[in-house]
Amino acid sequence: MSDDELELRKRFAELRAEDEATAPAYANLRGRALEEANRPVRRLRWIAPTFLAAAAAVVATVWVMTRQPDHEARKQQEDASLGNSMNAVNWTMPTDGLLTSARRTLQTPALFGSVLDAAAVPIRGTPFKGD
Amino acid sequence: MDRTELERELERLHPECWGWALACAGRDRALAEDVLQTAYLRVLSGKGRYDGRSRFKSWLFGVIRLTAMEEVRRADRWRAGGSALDVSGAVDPSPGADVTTEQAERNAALVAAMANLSSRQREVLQLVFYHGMTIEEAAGVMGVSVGSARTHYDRGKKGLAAQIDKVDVT
Repeated sequence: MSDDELELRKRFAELRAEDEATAPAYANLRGRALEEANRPVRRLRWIAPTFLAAAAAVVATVWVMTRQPDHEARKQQEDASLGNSMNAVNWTMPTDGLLTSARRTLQTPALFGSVLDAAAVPIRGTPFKGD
Repeated sequence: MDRTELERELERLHPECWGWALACAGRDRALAEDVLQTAYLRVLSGKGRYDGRSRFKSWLFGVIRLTAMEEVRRADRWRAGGSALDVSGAVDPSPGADVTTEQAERNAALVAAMANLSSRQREVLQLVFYHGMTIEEAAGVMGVSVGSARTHYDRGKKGLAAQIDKVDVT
């Protein structure tokens, strides 16, 4: 052990002797520790339910407040999407009319019919061919 | 370790625990008492459980050290400055009744010299020279590797010896 170490050991031993002479009694600290151990439990018995109830109320309020706009927004979205699907069902091509007249032209004519039958336009209120 | 044995060990180690709590609380007596009281509470209530992997004293010193860190942090919220093992803060200058003035001055000089070291250096020197631990045991209490503790020990010892020499010369 070096001289430095011996000197430090001596110095610390002196400090330790002084500290030990002024140390609080073990029984005092132990007693206070056990007192402290009982105190927070009693306090918590009252505080915990109150705190939990308040926390639950806050959480519920926040949940309701944040959920309401969501609900409305979702409803609007659903309505819009239903409207879109209905439009899709009813949609017809702009050129659909051309296809109809072309189909009529390509149809095999009736045995005793005329090629001009397809071009015939029924007059409203009068029976048409085959009616 | 049963309750009776635990209490007996705590009582036997109490003077040493007091010295360590004082060091961890920056030599603030009131804070050191709070630290030790809380540490005893943890041990006696079973919140801190000794698993037998190290010496009981090393384990207990570890509990006191962690408790001191928490208490110092809490105390810092109320008063500015200070930290665990910060001996530049609230140092109790009053020596014990049976301590001579000269010895009290030497002790005050040692405490003041320690204040100029880093907290790790203070811890390792306190554990080795004051509590008679090995560097390995000190490393366990401090939660650092043995190599790191040895480095802090060497640097701290040199720094402290130089400062004490300077004070003794003047």
